[in-house]
Order: sequence, then C-alpha cells, then structure tokens
Amino acid sequence: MKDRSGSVLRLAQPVRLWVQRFTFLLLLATAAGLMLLGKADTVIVERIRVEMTDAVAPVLDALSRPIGVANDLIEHGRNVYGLALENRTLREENARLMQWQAVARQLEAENAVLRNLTGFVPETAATEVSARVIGASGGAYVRSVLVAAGARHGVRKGQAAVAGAGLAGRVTEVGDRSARVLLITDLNSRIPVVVESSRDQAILAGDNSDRPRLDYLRANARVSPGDRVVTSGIGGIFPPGIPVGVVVGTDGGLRVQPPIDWDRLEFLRLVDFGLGGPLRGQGGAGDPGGRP
Amino acid sequence: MTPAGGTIAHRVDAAAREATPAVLTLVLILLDVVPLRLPEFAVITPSFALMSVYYWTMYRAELMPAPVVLALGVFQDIVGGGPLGVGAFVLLATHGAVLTQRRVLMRRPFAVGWVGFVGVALAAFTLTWVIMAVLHLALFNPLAAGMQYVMTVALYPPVAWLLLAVHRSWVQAR
Repeated sequence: MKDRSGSVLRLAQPVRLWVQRFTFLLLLATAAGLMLLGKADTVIVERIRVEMTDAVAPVLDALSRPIGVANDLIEHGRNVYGLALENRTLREENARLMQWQAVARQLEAENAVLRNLTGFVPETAATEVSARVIGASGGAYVRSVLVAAGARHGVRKGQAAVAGAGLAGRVTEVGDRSARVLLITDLNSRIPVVVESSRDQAILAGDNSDRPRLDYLRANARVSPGDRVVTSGIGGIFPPGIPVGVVVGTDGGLRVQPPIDWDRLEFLRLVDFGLGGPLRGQGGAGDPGGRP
Repeated sequence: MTPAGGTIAHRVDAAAREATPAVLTLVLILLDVVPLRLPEFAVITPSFALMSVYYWTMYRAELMPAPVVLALGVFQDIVGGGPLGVGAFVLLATHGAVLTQRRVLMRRPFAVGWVGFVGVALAAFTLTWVIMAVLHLALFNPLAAGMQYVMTVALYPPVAWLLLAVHRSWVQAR
C-alpha cells in the first residue's frame, strides 16, 4: 500500500482509499475464513447450504426443463437416423436376453427352494424415489448433482443413487425439496466394492475422472479387465451387490468403467435399502461418531 | 449515483437499475449450474460468474462493490456444490485485480478489454487450481481446468456483448 500521509491538502482522498482497501482485505479474509469453516464441516454450514439450495431448487427445476426438451428433440432426431441399425442390434440383443431370462427364471425357482430349505431371512425390501437432475456442478473440481426431491419425498442422507444399470453416487445433503448427490467419480467418494468373480475386495476411489480408481486391492488379487465390480456392503453404507461397473486396465492401474453416461444424467433413483436410516457423518471428514 | 429526491417510483426505478448487475450475475451463476447434457460439457462449463464480475467491475465498478462480489461468490459456492469460500475468494481477488487496472483498460476498445480478461481469467483459474490443491491435498488434472479456462475466455465476447446491451439499454438509461 502506498503511503500518502505527506499530502495535507488532500487528506480525505487517501483516507477514503485506505478505508476501501481495508474493507477489501477484510472481505478477502472473510472468504478465506469461510474456506476454513467449510473445511471443518460444521452443522451450521451444512444447514445454510441446504436451505439455500432448497430455495433455488424450483428456479433450477424450471430452467432445466426447456433444456431437457431440447435435448430430447436432438436425441429424437438422432434416433430416427439410426433406427434401422438399432432395430437389428436390439433384435439380436433381445434374442440373447430371452435366453438369459430363461436362465434367470430357473435360478429364481432354484433359489426360492434353497432359501426355503435353509430358513434364509430375506433382506428388507428397498423403497425408492425417482428424481430429476436439476443441477450439475460444472467445473473441474467437484462431481455432484442436485436432484429435485428432498426430505418431503422420503429422501434421506446416505441413500444410494442409481442411474440405469449402476451405482451413480450417494446422497450427501438433503433439503426439504432438493438433495445433493455426490457422484462416485468425485474426488471425495470412497465406496467399498468387491470384484464379482474373484471376491477380491477394494475401495472404489473417485478422482474427478469418468472412471474411478480401484484402490487397496490385495497384491495377489486375480482381477482382470472385464470383471464386474459390485458394492461389497462393508461399512453398512450400501447393501452388497449393487452393480458399479467393469474393470478396465489403464497405465495408471486398474479402473472401473461405470455403465453410466455422466454427461446425460437425467433421472436418478434414490434407493433406501432400509439399512438403519441415515448414517452419521456421511458429509465427509471429521466424523466423530464413527461407523455403526 | 442516485439523483437526490424524486418520487418513490423514480427511486424504485433507479434501485432496479442499480441492482441489475448483481441480479444478472446471480442468474448467470444459476445458468452455470443447470445441466446442459452436452457431451463433455459437464466438465467444461464456462464460468459465467467470472465474466460478469469482470465486466461490471471494469465498466460500472460502483454497481459491483466488493461485499456484493463476496455474497455472489458464496452463492456460487453453495449452489455449485464446491468447497465454501473458494469461489468467493477468487471472485473477490479478480474484482480487486480489475479495480487496479480498470483505469488503463476501461477507455480502450473492446478487444483490449477481452485481452485483459484473458489475463485476469488465467490468474483466477490458476488461483482456483492452487486453492483446490491445497484444500484437497491433491493435484487435479490441469487439463479439465484448462479446458474450462479456454471455454470461459472464448465465450467472453458474446456474453460481454449481451451484458453491454443490458448496460446501455437499461442500466445506463436515464
């Protein structure tokens, strides 16, 4: 800051300038303080976040609708173009799936008989809420989406968000009519998973890329590209068996390719598996409560 | 500067004009968040907020005071789901940097203002990257941030043109 105290005639000008600069620095310090406050993950910060998000949710909902319609139209045009080819592919796939359906029916019947024999206690039935995606955090640092369903629709913290064929994320903040879902690709996302065929456990760690890493595998794990990965249920956040994706090998180790088109998330199913309701401290670090 | 006195309607009108830059920035922040569902667009959403804060600080600094910038930044952080305070800090720093340079850039042709934005945005994106790295103790892929920077800089002219239209026809109209 320049010192202009020598000027007696124009004293008011430097003083005003000084006050302005001081105010500016104070505001800058406030922003820095907010960063620390946010990092500490306090209840009050979360409360404010949720209330504010809830307030703008209807606006975002309204704004996202015309975009959805426009996208549908574009998609429609594209579909008409590739209709014949798609029809053939679908017919082939249908034939294959019919075969699988027969297998599944057979297994289902067999399963029922075996369960009956062993007196198996079935898992509680899952209830689910379908919600429109109304906001996505653009940018290189955060992978989360806002959905237009909240506490009043039965959404609870810790619920699994499923898109189409696989796990998309986890509900981290719940307002009255909106909720934030942390995607499995986010840097802060850690999901206990298991490789379906070899039963090797690992942690699915997001790193803001479209394909999360497979961490903490055993050194001698028998995992190869193409293997299916599902949630392991360890930690009690998700039930075991939700599909997550398939293993792909890259230069930077093993990664998982989720069956989800991240650019076109339109609806998410928020599933409550009845695993004891909301978990404590699911917002992030600094959880004193520990895992149940 | 509001003319002293005047009818209530006049004052409301003046207040509406003066609030326009802040409200417009608020709308642009919401637009940043709305999912466009274009392939890859999720990663390279340009920062409309940065453009707006730069524009108004440059050309009508008195209508984009620092406390308003802080509030807009906090709003952006919350709605975008990012760590609290980061957007606010970067927008404020941008605001401060533009204030020191605006006398040099303000009266120049539009292209010079754009070149100024190219530099200021580079500093803002670098600052964001550094803060995020420190907060998360992780080195983020600079490519994604770089793409976002390029997108923001490339879209500045049309957005600034829109802001200029609003500026001339409504904010400045007497």
